[in-house]
Amino acid sequence: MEDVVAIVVLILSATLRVATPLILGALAGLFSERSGIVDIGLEGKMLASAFAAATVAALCNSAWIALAAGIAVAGAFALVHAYACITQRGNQVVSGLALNMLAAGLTVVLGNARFHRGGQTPSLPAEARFMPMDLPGAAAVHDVPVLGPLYDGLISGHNLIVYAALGAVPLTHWIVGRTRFGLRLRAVGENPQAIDTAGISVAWLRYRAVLLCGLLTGIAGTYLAIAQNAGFSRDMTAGQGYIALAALIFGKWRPYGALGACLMFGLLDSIAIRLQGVHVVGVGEVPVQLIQALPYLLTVILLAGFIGKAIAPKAAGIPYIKER
Amino acid sequence: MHEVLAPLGVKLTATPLNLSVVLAAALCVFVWLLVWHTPFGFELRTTGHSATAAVYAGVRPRRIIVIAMCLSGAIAGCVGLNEIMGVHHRLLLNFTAGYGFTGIAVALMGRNHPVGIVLASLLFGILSQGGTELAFAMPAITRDMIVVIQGLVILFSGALPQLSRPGFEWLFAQLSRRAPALRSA
Repeated sequence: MEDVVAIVVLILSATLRVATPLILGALAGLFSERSGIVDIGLEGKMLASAFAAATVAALCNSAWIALAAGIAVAGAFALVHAYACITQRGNQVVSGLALNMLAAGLTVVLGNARFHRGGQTPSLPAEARFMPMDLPGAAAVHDVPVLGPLYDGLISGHNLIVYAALGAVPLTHWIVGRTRFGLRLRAVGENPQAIDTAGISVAWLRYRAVLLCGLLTGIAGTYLAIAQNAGFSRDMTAGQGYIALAALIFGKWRPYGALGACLMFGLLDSIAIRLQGVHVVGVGEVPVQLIQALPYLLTVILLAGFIGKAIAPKAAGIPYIKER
Repeated sequence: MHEVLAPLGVKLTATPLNLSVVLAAALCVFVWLLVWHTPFGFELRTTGHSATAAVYAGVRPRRIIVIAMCLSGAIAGCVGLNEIMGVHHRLLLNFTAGYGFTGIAVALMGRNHPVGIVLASLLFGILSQGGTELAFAMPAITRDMIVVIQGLVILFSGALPQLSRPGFEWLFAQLSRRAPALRSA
């Protein structure tokens, strides 16, 4: 019994750690796509901000300055995307793709030029990172059966960004669903003409949404580089931006839906890690590759069979041209 | 390709170019015919424009979408033909190397038309092969720098095509204002 609880707590807490960048990325995509700007550049923004955060953390030795740098760089990328998509009315998918390539190349080139380690940044000391922190009373309840490990192992003992990501979900839900800005954000993603007719600037509204997207991807990238890992390595996002995008679609462009999808991806991932090398009765040792493919396989099955129709914001991907 | 053309008296240096380039060209023509010159193509374009209008006209969008996805998958599978059967002759891990995502950019930059796609894919081919040659000739330029250049080219040519427009408009306005003066002089 004790063992089962311990393993479950371990898997669930790994789930939270894996899901954090996905949650932030999905919320970032939510702001952008709900305003009608398709963003497949989440991956690139996360990568660029991860590099910026790791570099600044290595140079300044401060996690908070690194976070600011990560957000600034992701914001700059978002601004380029916004300029291309909103002001220049360019193709949103091509712009996102270009920014992904730019980030993949630039991070390694700049990292090589500064640190000469094949694109890696030096590994960071503890004070330059967001370290796991114990919530009050975690040690005190440690010996209480079931509830103790649950509080100590699962709820306590994460770093600040994990809690921030979990807090960002209800916050996003409130902003998008309950505020004036949120109402206009949803409206501009469905019918920008209506927003324009109401005398609100479509461009400014979308710029703010895309910048919010930059802010959140900046936090996600910072988490990858200086909280989950101790430094930047080339292509360290490894497709997590795309998975966040998938989670967003999975959750039908809603914050709690996206949270559920991210947690599911995280859970599958951490189960996959725990299953490696485990003998399954009647099958023998399951190949690692099969386990690694499991999350994606389940995604396809669930998406095809159980989730139902995911309807994108109506104006997503279409540049707004004011009628004359 | 050099092996195929040798009996015909055409001499080429040995390159990884193989018959799949002929297949690719044939597929371009096939797609063009299919999408713009058959009833199926008309139904496909109608569905894409407005699914509700398609239903009204007696088209079944689900059927069209399933067929389109199957065709798309079949054509995407031909990438393997070029890389595995044409160049490497064995299965490599991750041999696709991002072709899928680049393919999206190529399709969009080619404005979803076979002719445009041929031009756009030639541009991308030149960029990547030129980059490899450059990295080979000048060791100071790394593969990642090439990726940066490719990203910038895609960004400016694909996503910011209107960027230089006001400048050119101003330039042409200046030229056309001066042109009558030149003619009268």
